[in-house]
Amino acid sequence: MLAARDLTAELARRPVLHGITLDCAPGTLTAIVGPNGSGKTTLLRALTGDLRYGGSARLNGVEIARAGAATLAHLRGVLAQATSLSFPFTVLEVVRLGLTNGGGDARAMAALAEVGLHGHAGRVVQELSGGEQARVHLARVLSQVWEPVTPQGPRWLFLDEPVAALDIGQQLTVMRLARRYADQGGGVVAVMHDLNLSSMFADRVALMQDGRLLAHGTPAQVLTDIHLSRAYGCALRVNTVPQVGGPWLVPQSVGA
Amino acid sequence: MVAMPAHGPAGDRTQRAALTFRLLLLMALAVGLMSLGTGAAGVPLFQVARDLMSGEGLSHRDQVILMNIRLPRLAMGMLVGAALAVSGALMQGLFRNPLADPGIVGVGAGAGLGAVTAIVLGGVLPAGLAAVVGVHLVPFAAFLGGWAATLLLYRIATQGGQTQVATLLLAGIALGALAGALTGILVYLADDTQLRNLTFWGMGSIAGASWAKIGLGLPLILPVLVFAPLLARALNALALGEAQAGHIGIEVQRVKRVAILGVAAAAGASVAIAGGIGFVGIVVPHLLRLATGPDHRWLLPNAALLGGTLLVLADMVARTLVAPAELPIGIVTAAIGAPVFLWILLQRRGLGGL
Repeated sequence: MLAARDLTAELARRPVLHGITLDCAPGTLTAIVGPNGSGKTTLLRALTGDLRYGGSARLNGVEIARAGAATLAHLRGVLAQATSLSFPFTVLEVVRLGLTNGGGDARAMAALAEVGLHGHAGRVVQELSGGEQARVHLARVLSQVWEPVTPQGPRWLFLDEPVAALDIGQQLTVMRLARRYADQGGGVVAVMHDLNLSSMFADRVALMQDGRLLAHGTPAQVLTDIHLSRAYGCALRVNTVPQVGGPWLVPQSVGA
Repeated sequence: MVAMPAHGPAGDRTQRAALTFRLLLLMALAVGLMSLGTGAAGVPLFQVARDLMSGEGLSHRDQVILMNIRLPRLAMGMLVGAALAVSGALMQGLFRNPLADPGIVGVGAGAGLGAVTAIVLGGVLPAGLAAVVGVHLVPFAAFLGGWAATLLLYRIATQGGQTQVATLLLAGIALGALAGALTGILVYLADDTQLRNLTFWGMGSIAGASWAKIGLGLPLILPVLVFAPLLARALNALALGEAQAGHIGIEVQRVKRVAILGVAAAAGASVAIAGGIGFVGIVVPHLLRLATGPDHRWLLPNAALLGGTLLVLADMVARTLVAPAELPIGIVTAAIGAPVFLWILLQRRGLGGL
């Protein structure tokens, strides 16, 4: 279980999170959505132990701020928004960096296959496209927390805009990977910009505005006209996808 | 360049790096022997080997030349070259940039300030303390000066785990200038005896090698050479960024503190015993990254070997090019190293910024 209680955080002494209380269960995919500057990434950074926070945040019962790097690395993998690699490592060498919880090259290659880069192991990362580099790092994170459930409990994936640099086919590949990780018993928490992808793939949506949780629940509960127009300050029409039944958003007008 | 072995998965350069390690070991041996046989006086090595094996022992002349001049010079070249290359590789890993080098960004100047401070103001130490630290005061002060400079540089140039190279290089210039100015003031204050000591220290290069000097540098340099590979995994992870390194289980702050100490110890001690020798710390890691990749588990030991070997080679060039006179070795390393530095700069310019 991921349990945040009255979580607060500051950036440059300015309060950015104001008392977030949020539960995420293993076996579910939670999408954190909201407008730019609403505190999505700050919330994720607090939950991954990158940022000091007030209140409490526990991952499988472990208070995140007090856990060592090695303990957390066993519990969860983190895909940052952007990773700039400073030396010319090969794809295989980068994915190997993720093998902190065991598993040899076989696991690294399997993780690369999962993200559709199995033929790229020998390439130098900096020579790949932006989308390919993003998937190399996803493969590295996957190989770190390869088994979604261990005898000690479920594991977690924290993804900060995992599909931002990807084309639509790759977006679906990555979201399906995240979905499957949750279906196999792991927990997934993803900061998302794309509301439609969130609606399609997430079990729970946490909608943020000005550092507060505006709404939290199933996509159908959260992604409503009222919530969204309040959070984003623009009119959005929420339709329903015929086959699936989930909400589907279309901007209401092209003009002002 | 070493050929890619047929086995091992694609993208795996371990075997190539391991092979390079063995080749460098052979090269170090060969260059070492060559340097023993090179110098103003002829010492025929085959004759020496034959004498040693036949149990006759060396002629007194050969023994003096080898044991008191050539061997310490070889040992000091290897030690200082290894220290420069490894401190360069450590610093580049820490700053996540191949242009960070203790000599270029003011750490050498900081170490020099430390050494000069010890020579000029060392007399004010209480007699008891002075007796304890004794001859080790100068290298230790150089280490402290280098440490302060590295720490300051890191605070200035790195924000949120990202190093701005322009800031790094400019701050390095400023720190170097400041250390130089303070050094100048101290030299101005020095009395005649201290001035003589300063001159001897300032002339320090491989040419002034002695077992005593090696004994001064060894306690600071050897631990860095031996233990630096323990930081290799963390430095590899750091290439992803500080936050990302933390995510895969690295205690980033502790690693940074240890790496800064290592840089200061190796760079400071080499400045204390051999003066400022530039560019080894840039050129050696860069060549090795081109040949076998940036994996620090191999980069650090290979840098120690190649750095030592190259410095001994440069020393041979320095003492044979204008024989019987000698060039300062810093001129040789700068003549080779500065163009390589510019070459890296030009390559990185193509990548869209530093």
